Amino acid sequence: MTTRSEDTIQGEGLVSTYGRLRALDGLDISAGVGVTGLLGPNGAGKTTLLRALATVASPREGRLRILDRDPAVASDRLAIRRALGYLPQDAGFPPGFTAFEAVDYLAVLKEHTATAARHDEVRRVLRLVGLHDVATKKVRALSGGMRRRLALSQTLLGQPELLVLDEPTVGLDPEQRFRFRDIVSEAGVGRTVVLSTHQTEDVAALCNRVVVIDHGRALFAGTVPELVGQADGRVWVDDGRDGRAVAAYRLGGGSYHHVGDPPAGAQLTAPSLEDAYLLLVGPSAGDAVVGV
Amino acid sequence: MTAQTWHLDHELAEHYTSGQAGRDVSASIEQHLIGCGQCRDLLVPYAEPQRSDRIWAGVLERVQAPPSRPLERLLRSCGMSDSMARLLSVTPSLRGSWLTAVLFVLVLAELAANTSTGGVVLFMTLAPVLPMISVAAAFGGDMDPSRGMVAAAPYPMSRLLLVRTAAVVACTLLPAAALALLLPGPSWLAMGCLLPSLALTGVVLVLTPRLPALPLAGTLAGAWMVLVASGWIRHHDPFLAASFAVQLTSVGVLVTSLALLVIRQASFDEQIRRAP
Repeated sequence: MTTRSEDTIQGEGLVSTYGRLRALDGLDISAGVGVTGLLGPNGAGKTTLLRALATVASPREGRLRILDRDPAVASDRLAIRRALGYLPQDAGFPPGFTAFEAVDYLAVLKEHTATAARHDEVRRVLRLVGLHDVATKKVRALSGGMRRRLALSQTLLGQPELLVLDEPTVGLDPEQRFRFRDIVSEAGVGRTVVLSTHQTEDVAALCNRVVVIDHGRALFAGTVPELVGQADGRVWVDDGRDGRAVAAYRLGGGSYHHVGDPPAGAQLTAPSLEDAYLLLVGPSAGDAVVGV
Repeated sequence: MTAQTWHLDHELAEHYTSGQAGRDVSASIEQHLIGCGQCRDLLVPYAEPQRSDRIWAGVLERVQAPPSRPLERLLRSCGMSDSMARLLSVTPSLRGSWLTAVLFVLVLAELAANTSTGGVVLFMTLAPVLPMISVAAAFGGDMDPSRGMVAAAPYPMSRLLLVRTAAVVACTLLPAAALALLLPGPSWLAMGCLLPSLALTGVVLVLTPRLPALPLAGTLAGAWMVLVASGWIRHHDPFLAASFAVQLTSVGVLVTSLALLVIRQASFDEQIRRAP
């Protein structure tokens, strides 16, 4: 993968290990201003990569630069953290806190020390995610979608240059996902957003760049149309299930949607991002793609 | 009866907006303004937008960010800054329920100590251990659900850890020391539990980046209990913790722990963020 001078994230040959497991296995990645989506099955290395981008984990090998700084250097790491908004997969809040207090606590940790200005900033980010009306409610009284939006709100404190979001739409219903996409899409204007997801629809709707990861390596990096283009002529519909297909599922009308190398005379159909992803990663990806 | 019988003129509007209209007239004007758009429009040129914004911000500040937590109010009244009070209020072992439980156990041990020598042993076992466990609970893994987000924040983790530790130690060790003074026998013997408590806390702080804090504290508590119990069984000495050897060892461990924390502060900070 080639990196460009305008890329705000540049990683080459990244290796991370957990015991014998190589979570990142020589991964190359680059991302610039806009929304970059990481797609991949469970255990592909997405969370490990995002943790490295959020400076809470260090790759064992490789070269990583974030916002033109080296996260291995203490002063650079601090500068990156000051320009970073991070949403981990398992984001929670202290028990008993209101929505306002929970975000205010994280605002203090993000060095917003002047009380009135900090409270203004907390109100701003709560308004951005549509939670200003429930600011005084306890976090435990909020719905799952509201809590996820609350967690997203803290990433926007101080208008950071880089947003790192680990599966931001997991557990959200369609209406909440739609709202979430709107917020992230707005956040992606003029700053770098890197998000991981299992939802190909999220990537199609949000990302101007997509990176497919599996077994700790980047299998693809490019635009959504480029990825979809890889499946041109390799998706077909048939009345029965074809065992030679990489993946197949039954459509509502009773016919079967196939992805793979079509037999002669097959009835080809336009590929989706999901089809292209399945072709790239293989049948094991099926359990990670919603709707398959 | 007519609904509206009067309207503001420019002179009255100027008096009102400059605060010279008097309380009763102002109240009457405000009542009138609720139903009269014409008079509201008349007031617009007199209004200072900056002042309105400032007042509105003040209202929001009072309504949306009340200092509702008793602990935060207490800390602020002690002169602590608003932001530091908020950081401390997250600490699980500074909550009222936790501190009440610790105090309850210590008082029970104290009562037992006044009835039998076994009770003294119980007190000397628990008094050093409870502050250490409280410190471990102040930052131990699952105790803070927001830990993932906290780890990526620029605030120095070592400072956060030490501030919370100081607050927890003050809130747990001081009551233990006060109760120790009431134990039967010489007071200085009972106060011998303080140094081992600080030493055990120091060990937890130093090792927490590498080991999970609460299981570590549990293991140390178990070791301490074995030590005190063996002193009682072998030597019939309920104040083994106050012996010269234990005190000297405690000083050594405490000084070493503090030295390690100071020397390795930078790496310590990063290790806490990545701790198990």
